[in-house]
Amino acid sequence: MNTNHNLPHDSRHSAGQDSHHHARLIALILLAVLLFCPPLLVVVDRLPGVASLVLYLFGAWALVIGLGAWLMERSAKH
Amino acid sequence: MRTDPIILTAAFGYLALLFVVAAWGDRRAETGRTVIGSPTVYALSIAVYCTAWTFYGSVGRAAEHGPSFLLIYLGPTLAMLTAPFLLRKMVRIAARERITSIADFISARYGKSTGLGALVALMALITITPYIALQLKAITVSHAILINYPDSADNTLTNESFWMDKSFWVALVLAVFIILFGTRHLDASERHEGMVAAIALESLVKLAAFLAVGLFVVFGLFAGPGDLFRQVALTPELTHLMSLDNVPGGVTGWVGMLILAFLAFITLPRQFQVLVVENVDERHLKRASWLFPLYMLLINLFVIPIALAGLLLGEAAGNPDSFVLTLPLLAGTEALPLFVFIGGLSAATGMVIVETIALSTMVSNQLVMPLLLRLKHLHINYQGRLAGWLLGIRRISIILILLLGYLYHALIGDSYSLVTIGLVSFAGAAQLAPALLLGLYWRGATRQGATLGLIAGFAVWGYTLLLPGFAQSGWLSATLLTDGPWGIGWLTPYALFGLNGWDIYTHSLLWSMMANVGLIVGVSLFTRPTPLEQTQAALFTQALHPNLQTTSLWRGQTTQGELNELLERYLGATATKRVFANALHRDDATEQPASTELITRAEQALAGSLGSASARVLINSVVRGEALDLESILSILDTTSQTLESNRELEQKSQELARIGEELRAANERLRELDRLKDEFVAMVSHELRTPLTSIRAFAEILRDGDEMPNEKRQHFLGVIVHESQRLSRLIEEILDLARLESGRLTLNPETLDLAALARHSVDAISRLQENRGVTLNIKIDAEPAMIVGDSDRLEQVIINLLDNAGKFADRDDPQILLRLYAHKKHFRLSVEDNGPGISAEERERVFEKFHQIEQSSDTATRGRPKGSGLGLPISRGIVAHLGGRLWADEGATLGGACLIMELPNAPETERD
Repeated sequence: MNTNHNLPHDSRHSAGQDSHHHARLIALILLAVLLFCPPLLVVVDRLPGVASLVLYLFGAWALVIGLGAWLMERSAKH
Repeated sequence: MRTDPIILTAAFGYLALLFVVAAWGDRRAETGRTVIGSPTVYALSIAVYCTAWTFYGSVGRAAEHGPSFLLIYLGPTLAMLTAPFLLRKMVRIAARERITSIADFISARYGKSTGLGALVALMALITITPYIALQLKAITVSHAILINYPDSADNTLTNESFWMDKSFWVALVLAVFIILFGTRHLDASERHEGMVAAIALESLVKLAAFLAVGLFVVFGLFAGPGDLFRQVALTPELTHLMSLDNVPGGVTGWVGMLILAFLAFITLPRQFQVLVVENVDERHLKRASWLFPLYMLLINLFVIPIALAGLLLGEAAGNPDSFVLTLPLLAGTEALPLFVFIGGLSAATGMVIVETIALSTMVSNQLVMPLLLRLKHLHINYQGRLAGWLLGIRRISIILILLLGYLYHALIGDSYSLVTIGLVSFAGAAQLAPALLLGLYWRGATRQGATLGLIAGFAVWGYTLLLPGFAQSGWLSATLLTDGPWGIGWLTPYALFGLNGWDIYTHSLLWSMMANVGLIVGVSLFTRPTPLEQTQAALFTQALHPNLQTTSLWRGQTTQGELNELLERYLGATATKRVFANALHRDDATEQPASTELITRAEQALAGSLGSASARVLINSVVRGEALDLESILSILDTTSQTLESNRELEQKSQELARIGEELRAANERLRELDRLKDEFVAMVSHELRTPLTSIRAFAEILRDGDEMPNEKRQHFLGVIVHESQRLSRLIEEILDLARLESGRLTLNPETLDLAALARHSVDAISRLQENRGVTLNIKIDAEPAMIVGDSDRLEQVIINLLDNAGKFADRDDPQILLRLYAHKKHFRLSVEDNGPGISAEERERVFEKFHQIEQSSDTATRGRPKGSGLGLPISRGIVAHLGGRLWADEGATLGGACLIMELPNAPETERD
């Protein structure tokens, strides 16, 4: 993935990385909003099964947390 | 296991453990080995969000409204994802401004306004005290269930007096705990290390307890989740429990609740306390931003299984709100219910501790302090004792808040308003969000706007949520909810303006936010912020800008002594010494003026203890002639307007470039013109040189080949060759002259001479030629002697050239030339006029161009006149210009033909003699 892990990075480098990191975070927030909001929920809700909506919600939640952890911890290394 | 002594021992033993942990944390902090300097502890402390309301109430809400309980946690998940933007900004501002609470934060943002701080503190107090009561009620109820199961808990609750109520004693113990660990420092912006450590522990305990009961229910009462859901699928009334239809308000209710939870998570005083005030390192936000959501996911993992299991078991499980306790009790386990009770206790106490600290800080700093500062005699008396007073105020407010919470619980505990207070509190706290968020991102938000927005939002919240709660508790007529006040239908609190079918929280959120945001934005657009407001707005909105300058913005004079006195009075000697640590320790130090940095440090220290608004008031009381430091302000504004600035520079640069480009184009144009002239010149010169050369060559060839040519003819041809050679050498001479003139290498020998004599001499020299042409030459000399400085040879060349030209162009039948010499101002003018056709006005300058005459040569050639080279006039003009004079063509005044005038300055007096 990122080969710059061990390289000393100058401010320009880290600034670029910063904005990249921020862009990913914003994308993640938008994804979370999308996953947690009605249009998708209504679709899932119509699926058969007692707990399909609940399973979907926990699944989406875990996905968002996982992606968040991955992004945050990656940037924490820098 | 379920006897009162055991339960009480466990409960108070647990509280004792909290004391030990908190004391340990504080001692570690004193020795510099902090235990809360870890992102994990920080994330766990944020989990104070999960209160007893979560612990017991989530299951109840799930049993009634399906998945909607999850929204209370999905909102904060979204909020935590924004941590690198929003929360980081808040943390950074709070650290720099020494913010002590959310009331302080909002007050500081809007110009350190005392009134706004007091308003927010009051709002928080009204919204949150019932919430504290709810926690105490949870302790009482859970204890009663534990003791009385399988009987209903109600009969003991109604008969008990308050000294038998365990939650009263728990509240008392908590008061001691909070006073011990929450008011250790006067500086409320400092971290309460021990308290945070205890809260982190509590978060672990409640998570463990909930997971334990969840695992027990799923794998103990049922054979795993598959079995549980299979049984649910067989129960028709439960199959649709977990669908979206069961969510209050449906899709709108879902979105509304998500937004509400998001906003409340940021604005709840206890969340602000742990997220912002207790943050020790903003990098901790990174870990917390996913670890805390993970915590919420785990603690909610078994909510639905427990709710479904409880519903499957029916009557025996009792009230869904207490399924967490009754399910293990139902199964006959002994230790697990006690552990669950401790878990619930930890959830309740954690919330009460943090919320009370946050509220007491607000009450002391935003409500009591500003009032005390108005009492003038305080400034004079009570030297050095106000520091103690401050802590006293905070401790008393802690006891009062807990007492208030307890009273609320004891007096109106069973009413509807308490049961729903969790979400009602959320909606109340969310009213702070517009002032907070707009303040963080919009510099134009003003104090008046924020104040009116808050009041309006709070009023709408009160009308649409709080008041109906009272009505449902029976304190107000229930017709308020059905028919509206005084029978006005469109004012019905749950369906304002006829908006029905919405869930009550989303409904309230919509109207309150409309009023709140609308007023903040609307009023801000039409009010002017004070300079202090403007600078605070810039500091808050630009908090994350790397170049933000943080030095003091204020210039004023005070002595170190006065400042020292002020700090000692309010903060005590130790804190004062810290502030003055770097100041000069001279004998006359007290008389020395205090530096701006020192004043800033003093204000920050005061702000950390008293809140920013009070700190400002106090600093103003000793600092005289204070004014905004214009330079600092500009630098702050600069930071923010840097983009604007660089845009402007860029524009300037491009304009400059355009200008330079224009210049270059003009220069290029000129070079092209010069190049064209040069080409023309070269062509003309070669043409001019070729004409005599051709005839010389032609005649020379005739002579070479024609041996029998008569001698007379031969002589004639030789004469032509000689003549043409002379013409050629004259031409070359002229070209050389011109080259010298143009390159400035023409050497002149200036001497004082008489122009009149020179003119006569020139006329004599040319008279023979003119006579041959039949030209009548008149001379009229009005100035004699006409002394000038010039080169006689060159001037003679000019005059002869002028006379020669005039002879060529004079009337063919009766050629006449008039030479005049006269004085004109400080110059002498020599004019040569002829009676020829003259030169038209537009041609007059062109005759001085090189080879100009060639274009007219056809005319002259037909007249059989000798051709000139076309270089005479340009050379003449060059010579005259070199001597400081002018040469130009004009209309002949006397003879009507062309008139060429040479003007030369008088010789200076000294040289004339």
